[in-house]
Amino acid sequence: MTEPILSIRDLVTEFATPDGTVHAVDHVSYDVYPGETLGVVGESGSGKSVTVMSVLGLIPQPPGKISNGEILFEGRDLLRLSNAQLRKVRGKDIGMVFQDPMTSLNPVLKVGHQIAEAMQVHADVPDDKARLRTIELLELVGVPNAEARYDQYPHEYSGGMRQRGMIAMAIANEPKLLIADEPTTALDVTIQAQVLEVLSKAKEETNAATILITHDLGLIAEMADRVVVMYGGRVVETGDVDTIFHEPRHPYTLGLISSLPRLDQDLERLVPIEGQPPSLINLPSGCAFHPRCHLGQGRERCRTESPPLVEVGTAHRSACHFTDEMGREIALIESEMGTAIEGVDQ
Amino acid sequence: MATYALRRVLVSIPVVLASTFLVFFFVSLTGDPLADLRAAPNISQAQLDFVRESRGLDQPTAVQYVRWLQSIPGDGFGTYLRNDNRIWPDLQRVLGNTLQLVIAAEILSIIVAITLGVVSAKRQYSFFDYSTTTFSFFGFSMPVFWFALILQIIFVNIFLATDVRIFYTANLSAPNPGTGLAFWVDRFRHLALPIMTLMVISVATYSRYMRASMLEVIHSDYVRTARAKGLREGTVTVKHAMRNALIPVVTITALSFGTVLGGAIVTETVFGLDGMGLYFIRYLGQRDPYPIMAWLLVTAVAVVIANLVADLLYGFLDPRIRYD
Ligand SMILES: Nc1ncnc2c1ncn2[C@@H]1O[C@H](COP(=O)(O)OP(=O)(O)OP(=O)(O)O)[C@@H](O)[C@H]1O
Ligand code: SF4
Ligand SMILES: [Mg+2]
Repeated sequence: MTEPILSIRDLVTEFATPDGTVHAVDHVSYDVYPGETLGVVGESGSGKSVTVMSVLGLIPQPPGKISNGEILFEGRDLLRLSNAQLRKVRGKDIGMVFQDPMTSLNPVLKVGHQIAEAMQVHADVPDDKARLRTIELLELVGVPNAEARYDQYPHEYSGGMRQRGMIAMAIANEPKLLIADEPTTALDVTIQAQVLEVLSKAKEETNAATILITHDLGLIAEMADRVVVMYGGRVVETGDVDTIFHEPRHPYTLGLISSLPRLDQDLERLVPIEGQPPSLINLPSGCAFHPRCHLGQGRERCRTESPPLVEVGTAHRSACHFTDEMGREIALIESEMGTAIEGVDQ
Repeated sequence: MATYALRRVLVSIPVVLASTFLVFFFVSLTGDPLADLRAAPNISQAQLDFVRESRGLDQPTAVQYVRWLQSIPGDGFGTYLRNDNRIWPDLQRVLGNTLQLVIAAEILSIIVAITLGVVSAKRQYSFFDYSTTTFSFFGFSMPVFWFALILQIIFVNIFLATDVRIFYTANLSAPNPGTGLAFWVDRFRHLALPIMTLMVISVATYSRYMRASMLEVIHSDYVRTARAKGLREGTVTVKHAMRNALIPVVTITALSFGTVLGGAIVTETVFGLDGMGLYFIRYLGQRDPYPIMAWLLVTAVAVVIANLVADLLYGFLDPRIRYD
């Protein structure tokens, strides 16, 4: 297999808060390979954003602190770069699209200028050239009337248009890695599909590897090549998208898949994961998922021993003590839900 | 925007008129403006009657007010009650002096306060931040006259000890200030302490606003976006954060500028500066309604202009504001 373009190794990111230390990212490792789309899923607060913010050095310090790990981008550890070196990576080699397009653009600067600025900070592009290129980018991401839109302010753009602008900004320097952190969550359902299309197009255009963070497994099924499932600041399962959907080897992943609403099912038969996401200040002992785990049933090992992330198949890893019982668990859920797992549209 | 400005000016005319009427009414309530004149030993009843009639003081207040108003276009602000000196030239002079003091103090305050506010916010909870916070509390709580006196004492003592005159502690100019550059150097050495006095409270106030505003902006998503683009921290702070953080602060400074123009009464009194504040106090003591009314009209107009400027600046800084 080719070398990963980004390799997160044993990353620990914590926040000091008045209530205690928030262990937002707890020994997380995952790889991103050139050209692929890696989907990252997990409930709110599972550390998806903090992980990628750590990659770009965007964690506010204090209260944040990266206390362990390395982040290898093309072989260089981003955590060891000086500010000046890291700045050259940000926005140039790694482009980022944030969750909320309503607040992610500067309200007092013209949208076009903000995109051109992303270009001009990394290359010596004269203003008129930057303008032309920006207009091209705006056209590429489907902003109509790009010439006129260049000189408008964010408040004159709709939510969907702003996110297109953000995508244009993120790909302005043809980055090798594109990070999209819930790029459609804040948008209307009708707009979401369009923006995703733009994102796919942008990815094709630049051939960038992509990290797509989302709550939406449906989106993962549609766009991702591989999947990382996060829970309580840890990676609990990773694998190919097919494998993850058809042979999940972690009860939490199975829970996420079974809670997917589908057209051919009654909504009543949805199986949501019971219980609350864990507190990141006082993570449950042993396996952090044990208070909610159907498979664990409060077994001693689950309560006391933290399961390591181990190989369970080709390029498939899971952090569960009882992965071998997952087959029965899937069968059980399937009998409750009908063709729950196989029915997922790939 | 021009239409907007014009409309704002038109709307403020009745406001200014109403406030002048109210003040006119209250000033006339404070008692007989001729009381002092009456008490003078060598004044005859005929002279008193003459003043009363020529000024219309025997008429109802409303009539007096209308007379006063009518006299403004042709007659400037007329003359003082006690003599035939004209009010307008005096008022122009004190207004000019106060403007010099206030403009210098405000500009310096804004520069210092913005710097303090930005650095405090960038280094929240640092030693620097705590120091400026402490300074601000002192600035708020220190009586202005007391600080002014302390400054005077310090600089008089320096003069006595070393025979070097750094700053003067009274008046606007030396008896023979010279002309051109020499004049302005001399003026600066006279105004330095009053400027410092005015700055203490302004810097304390504005820097607090700036810090709060900056803290809010620093943690916003678009500042994170700016950083994610790979911009230098300085560019992120100045171009992306400060530009936004300034919007509320500019409004506050512009508004307060109008208010201070009425005269920094305490400061001007302590330093014996021939400005608006001292002028007002002097004629209030003499119960002469005419200079007071003239002073009020000028101050009210200044406040209206400052409001307008604040609004226009707001629109200039924030493209989301539309004037229509
Ligand atoms: N600046 C901060 N100060 C304190 N805690 C923080 C800070 N930023 C993030 N956290 C905490 O880190 C944890 C992980 O947050 P993160 O944003 O990575 O979650 P997420 O998986 O992206 O969730 P979501 O799907 O809601 O975006 C959360 O519990 C959050 O409260
Ligand atoms: S280790 Fe135990 S609690 Fe954790 S997921 Fe596996 S079975 Fe459930
Ligand atoms: Mg997030």
